[in-house]
Amino acid sequence: MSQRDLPSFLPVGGTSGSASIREPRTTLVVGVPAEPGLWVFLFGDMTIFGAFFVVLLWERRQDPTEFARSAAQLHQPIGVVNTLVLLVSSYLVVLALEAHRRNLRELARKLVNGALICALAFASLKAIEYSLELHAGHTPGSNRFFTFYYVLTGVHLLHVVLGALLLSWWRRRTNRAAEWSTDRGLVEAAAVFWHMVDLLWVVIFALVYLACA
Amino acid sequence: MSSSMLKVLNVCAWSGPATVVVTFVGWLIAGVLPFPLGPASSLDQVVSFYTDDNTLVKIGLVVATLGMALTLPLCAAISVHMVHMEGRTPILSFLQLASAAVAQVLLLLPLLLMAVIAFGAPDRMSESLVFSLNDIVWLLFLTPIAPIGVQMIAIGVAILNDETNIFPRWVGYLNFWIAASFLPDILAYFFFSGPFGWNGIFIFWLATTTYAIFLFVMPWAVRRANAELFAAESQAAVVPA
Repeated sequence: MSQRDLPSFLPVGGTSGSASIREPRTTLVVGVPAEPGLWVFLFGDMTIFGAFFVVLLWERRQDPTEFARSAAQLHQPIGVVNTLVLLVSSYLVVLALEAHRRNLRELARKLVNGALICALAFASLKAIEYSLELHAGHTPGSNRFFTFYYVLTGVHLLHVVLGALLLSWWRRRTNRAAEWSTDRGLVEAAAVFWHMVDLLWVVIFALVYLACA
Repeated sequence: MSSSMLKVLNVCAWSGPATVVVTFVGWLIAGVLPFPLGPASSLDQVVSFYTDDNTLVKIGLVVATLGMALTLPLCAAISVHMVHMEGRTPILSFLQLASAAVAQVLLLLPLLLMAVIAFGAPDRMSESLVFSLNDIVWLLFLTPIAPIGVQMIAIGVAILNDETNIFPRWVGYLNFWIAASFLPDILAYFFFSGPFGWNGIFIFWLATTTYAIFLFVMPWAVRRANAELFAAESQAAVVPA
């Protein structure tokens, strides 16, 4: 197809219309993990979770006995194990990041694999926990506590899935040789996102499983 | 780009904040704000919303429907810049434009249906019909999040793939966050009261707040890009390659 066939709003040459005039701006800053823009998403996400937590505590004040009675029916041992699983995964991510930085790609891949296994273990335990709760007749509509239990852990599980996808993307990067500066953006984004998943779970565990009980 | 084209692009950008202001005023007149009807509202409350101050409800909804349509010029201007980001294969630009149009229909339809209820509620609809139609209005307004989510993810991906930073990269991440903030809206099907009912803090209030952020931040980014595009093209015109 000749360039004359293209409508005039499509720039010729396949590059951005003004690319030749603009200077590409660097997006990675020393001292800030991943690119600064990602933190808009992370802080925004944590703000919404923060609002979830505030409303949860406010609802609990309306009916502390009902919340305590319901929270006592959760399977705390599963929650404890899942907390440990995520803490271990976060530590593996820290080690993997350090290994990747020092260009030890083989080691980095193994460590990311470990974190992915933790993610899978977390999701499996969560599935078991959900089926136990549903089997016991506790549904999201049972009462306000279980609404929050399912919504908070469900939205968090969505983050675990997204985090695992980012970790898998990182894992693929460990298969090829590249400069650290090329990999840094993605690798640090995956690591930082995974730490957020861990951090949010620690707060959810403390509030839903412990504080309400 | 001529300076008159720059003006058109800038006016399109301003339609973002205009959407927020006009729709807000319309909703205030209609009484949708400050406290919208909820799934826990009684039959009497729902019927009296449409029959007391019936004329004000209609006037407010007319204003709100006009205001809501002002997102379209903004989305067109966003697509112009996305075409510059993508070059010869502007698939995300087309996706953004198409999904914005669908999202627009899904935002307008409930408001129009609300006006229809206000038309019929005083003497040609049964109370239970008013009640059921009101359910349709609110669930239709808040739960179809997929088109608008696709729109924002398309914008975000285009921004992050663009090496020339026509829009700042954080605006791309902001779009992902706004898309994510709509996710709780689907819970409105499951709850009849509380924070996850359709008028709850995590449904109506969260979604309208983050959409308002979109309608203020995107115009800012579009106007900034308009100015740079105009400067770049007039510079290129002065110095022929």
